Amino acid sequence: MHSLALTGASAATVGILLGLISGFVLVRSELVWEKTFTDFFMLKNGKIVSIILFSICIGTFLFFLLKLAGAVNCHIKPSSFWASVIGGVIFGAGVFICKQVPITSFALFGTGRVYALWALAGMLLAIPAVRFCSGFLSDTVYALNPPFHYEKTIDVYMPGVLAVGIISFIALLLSALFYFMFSGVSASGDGKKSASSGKSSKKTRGKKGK
Amino acid sequence: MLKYLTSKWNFLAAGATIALLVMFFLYLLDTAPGMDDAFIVLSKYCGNAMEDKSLDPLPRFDWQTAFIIGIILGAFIATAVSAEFKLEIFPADRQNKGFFSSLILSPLVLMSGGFLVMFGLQLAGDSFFGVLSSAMQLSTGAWAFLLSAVFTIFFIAAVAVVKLEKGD
Repeated sequence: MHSLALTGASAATVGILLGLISGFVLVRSELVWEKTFTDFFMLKNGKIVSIILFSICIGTFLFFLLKLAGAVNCHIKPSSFWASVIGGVIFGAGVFICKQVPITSFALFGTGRVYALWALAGMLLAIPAVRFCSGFLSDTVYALNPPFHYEKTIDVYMPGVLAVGIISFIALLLSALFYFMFSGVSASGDGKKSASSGKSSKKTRGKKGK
Repeated sequence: MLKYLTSKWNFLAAGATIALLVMFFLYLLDTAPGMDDAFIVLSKYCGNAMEDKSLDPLPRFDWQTAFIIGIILGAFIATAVSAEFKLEIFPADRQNKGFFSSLILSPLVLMSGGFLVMFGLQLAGDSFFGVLSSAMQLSTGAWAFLLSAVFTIFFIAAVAVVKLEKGD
């Protein structure tokens, strides 16, 4: 069993189909709405992190099985340790400011929220800016030595099955923790609050009553 | 079935679907999911169009461009079937807050945020979907990126919550 490695028109068709599903999932899971991000920043709703961690939990396990079957290949882009860490910090600050990531910006635009184009314009401006700073970045961020013996994948440090098991378990545990710790309110498209579950809505009503 | 398509999904359904999507990408296209190449092409196209003050022929229609179009269409369908589609020029929290807030501050905030988001992603050398896929493939860099991003968000959020509680 090998990966299909489609190209040309068939790859574009698959791209559209997978994009359609992605856009649909992002809206149905409420990841596109700014309210979901704001609630997460205010520690009221951990749905974003729960979804990301649960997808990693399932994905790690699926990837391991599919790789064993020879159906998929490893596709990891090379990156230095400090570039990833500093990139993550800048990315986190940016998400806090605009409450969007590239994929949700496109989805938000699809839902009729035209202002997503401003965030997309900022994202497009960042690409020549990185190219402009590439010399400086090569001398500084990319030249820094990692604090430990840095390998491309985690399974180099331990047996593959163990790495998959540990990562999946931690991701599942944190995902449940985030969901149940911060499950208060959820967002809707028009920015109105709605109860995310029957239990939480009863709790909210109870508190209001008191 | 129709009710499931129009209602909100919990984190289990959404997370499992995203994981399946990544696996489909890896199996069908034998490449990491994401759209960073499409962003680079689009950025170059916009730059050339602004320099020449004319529209060049459209960039090549590859799977990444198709993916972006698919996302927009998918989001449109999802909001259309649940009657959530609404044309909004300004974010809901900035509407009716005056000329400065709506027309100047809001675009500036969104643009600066978007700039930082893409700068961070370009520095790490991947797109967000790509980082997610790399984390599933046990990439050390992707985990370093995700952890530092989450810690940064929590740090800024904690400062914001403390400031709000103090009433600053």
